Amino acid sequence: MKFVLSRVGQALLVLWAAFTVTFVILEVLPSDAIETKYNNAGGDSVNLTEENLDALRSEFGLDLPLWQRYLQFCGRAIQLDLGNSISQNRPVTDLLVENLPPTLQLAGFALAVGLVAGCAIAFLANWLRSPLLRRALTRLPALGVAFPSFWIGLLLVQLFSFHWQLFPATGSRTPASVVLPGLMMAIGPAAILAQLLNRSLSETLQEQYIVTAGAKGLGRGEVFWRHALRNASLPALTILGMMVAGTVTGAIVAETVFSRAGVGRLAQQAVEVQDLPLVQGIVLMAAFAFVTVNLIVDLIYPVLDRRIKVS
Amino acid sequence: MHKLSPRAAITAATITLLLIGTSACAGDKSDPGNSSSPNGSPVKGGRLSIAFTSDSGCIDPPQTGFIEDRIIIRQIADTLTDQDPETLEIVPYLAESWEVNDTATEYTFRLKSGVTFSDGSALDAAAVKATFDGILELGPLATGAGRLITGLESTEVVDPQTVVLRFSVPNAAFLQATTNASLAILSPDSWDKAPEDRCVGDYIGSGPYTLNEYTPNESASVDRRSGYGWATSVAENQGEVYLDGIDFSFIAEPSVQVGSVTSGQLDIAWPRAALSEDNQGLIQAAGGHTLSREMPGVSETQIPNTTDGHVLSDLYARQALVKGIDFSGIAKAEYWEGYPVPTGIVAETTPGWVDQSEAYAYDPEGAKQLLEDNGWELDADGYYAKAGKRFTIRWLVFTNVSSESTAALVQDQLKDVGIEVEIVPLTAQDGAAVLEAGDYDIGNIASTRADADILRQIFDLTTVADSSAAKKSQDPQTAAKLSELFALQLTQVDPTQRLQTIAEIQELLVDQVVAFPLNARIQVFGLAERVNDVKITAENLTLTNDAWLSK
Repeated sequence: MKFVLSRVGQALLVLWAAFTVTFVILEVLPSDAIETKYNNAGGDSVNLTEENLDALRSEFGLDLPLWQRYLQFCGRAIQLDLGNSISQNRPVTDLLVENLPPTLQLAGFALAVGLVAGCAIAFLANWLRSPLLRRALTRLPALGVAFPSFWIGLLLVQLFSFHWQLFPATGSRTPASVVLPGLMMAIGPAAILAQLLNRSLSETLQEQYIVTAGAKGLGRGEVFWRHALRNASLPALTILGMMVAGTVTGAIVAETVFSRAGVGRLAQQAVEVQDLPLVQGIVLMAAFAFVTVNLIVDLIYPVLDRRIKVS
Repeated sequence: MHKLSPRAAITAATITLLLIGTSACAGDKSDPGNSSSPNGSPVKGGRLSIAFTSDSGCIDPPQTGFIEDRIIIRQIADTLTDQDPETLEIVPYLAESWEVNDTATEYTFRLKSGVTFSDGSALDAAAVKATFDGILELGPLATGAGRLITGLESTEVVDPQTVVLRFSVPNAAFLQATTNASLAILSPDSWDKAPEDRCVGDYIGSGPYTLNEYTPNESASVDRRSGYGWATSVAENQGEVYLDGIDFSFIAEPSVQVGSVTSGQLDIAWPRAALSEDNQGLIQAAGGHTLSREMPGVSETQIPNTTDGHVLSDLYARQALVKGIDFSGIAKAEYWEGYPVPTGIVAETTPGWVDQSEAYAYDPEGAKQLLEDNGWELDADGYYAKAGKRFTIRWLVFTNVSSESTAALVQDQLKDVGIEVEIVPLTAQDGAAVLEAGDYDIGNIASTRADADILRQIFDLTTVADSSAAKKSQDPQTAAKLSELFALQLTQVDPTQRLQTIAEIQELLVDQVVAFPLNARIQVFGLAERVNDVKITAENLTLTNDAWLSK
């Protein structure tokens, strides 16, 4: 219990730090969200007068001194009110609630595919007896990390949407629309997971107790599943937390390339027009997801390895 | 059968390209962007899918000026008047006739009778009043409508079909403003909704379609409204539309839009910038066709910083700069052979456009001569210098709207005449601060409107914002003269007189090199084979009243 409380305290600290750092970074930039929105938006200038701009600044509370705005932001954030987006003039919480489901679907699909593919590659690389195939599978992840994901995305679109017309190229309306962006997003995590799991598996398989288990007459499969995989999965579990956090950045690219609604695309647009309340909201949400997943991972450790005590 | 010699093959290929080029950019004033095809007469049914580059995330008429937002608004709400894309004249829409008083301070509109909103309530004078009152109440948030209704004071209902709008200052440009979707008439109830709710489409209009769904930044869809019968005079079909509905999506990448069209997932690729020659070829190879028109208003216009201490404060330097730019070279390199070159400070599709092509003739020798006659001398590096100061200009390139490669081309061209260009790529968010601080020599602006009042919105220094690229574009004398002319054209109800003043404004802007366009803004869209009679409005929005799909 004490452990959980201290971790929650740490999590809150992380949230506050993320919030403050974002605020400071966006504030030191010389630009102004109001001017950005209207002076050059959509390739067409709106030609507002200085008077209009001033009125808009005070409408969004941007005319207040810095410290006052920071306190205001903090005060509201505690009440889960993230203010209104400057670029879309709607409550940030509404925008997040609307855009979260498609991103969760995408991230869920990508993580599932990444997990299965990563484990499968690592498993096969250690299970197969052909040295050629083993080497090929061991090298494969490096390739997945090396190619830029947007390039893979465009390739997927060209092949599976424009050429074979199997999946839609854009949008997030239909379940099938999750496939291509999901695959693109899955490649990175799958590659990292495969690399890590492969290494720890091959190390574990050379351990004394595995040899012993084999000598005691246990079948190859049983040794693999019951002894090797369980012990080798600990480092992989640690990276899982990172992978979840990585889906946020992955979603930015995937949703932009595939024109999907979602938090990633929202983030990209918010940063582009320096929409402070919206960027703050997204950062807070991502930070929240990150600390939650890490908390869960910490709690699962002892279940997998009894030697680890929650403390 | 005989084989083509390589030479003949190249010739054939060149001719094909030229044909594609010319057919794609035949979208001047003479071509209203009519895509009528030989597919027979219109049939009802089917949903049209169309992809835009992006939306602003808000489709409340007064709160947006975005072209793509306005296209969606136009389908679900009507405006008082419309503008003929060929003649550029104002024609009836919801209003069947109108009168303007001599001082351009009073506009009387007589409304068509029998018009209803999609909730069944009447579109009458009270609804028009509710709309303009609602816009005034929005205050600074009415960023799309605000700039169109300068001086609007009050709206009065004379009788159910007659409404009068009164202005505190003359606004002769207001009639054209009533064609703008930002001033679409909404039901009185709509104005009771919160502005942020209207942003996501929570309002009622009287348009040929009703809004079915709008997801900001992703998609929108509209369905045919049955019983519609008060279409714009610009459309041939005055009744219900042929399409069952339209599905809009926002796809930033042009090649994805085009691939979606050629693979049958999308009917129309409607990107902001012209489809490249390659993409046009793909559309045509798939049996589709292209549609094109020049955007009215001010094209990607370059604006010199003429404040003291900047090299372009010297008129001769500005003139030499323009003479040293090969506009047709840019059009050819950045677009294709035959892509139009800029013809003036405003696009040809703007009422009152004056052909100023002569001012943009390539004359590198003239540029050098002009500099030498005025005390400039070549330095050791081959650049002109005067009083120990080299002719170097900092050229801002806003990467969201302009291309760095165009600037690089200009850099090369100007190097040949002894002018050094330093390209400064900027994002939109950094731009405002740089423009306000003044550490640049060339800034730029693009703005769309099919009325020359757009020039006032950009170049009238008495009103423009400090962070505007035009703020530092004029010496006090020019600024005063322009301001006077801008105010004058707003008082001129007589079109001939107003266009005369507007011509004077264009001359002054060009003579003083207050600004110069770098390229014409031609839009080229790609349409699937089954799409017929989609048209382009005077402000380059999509007109779908006549559109139909081949079975």
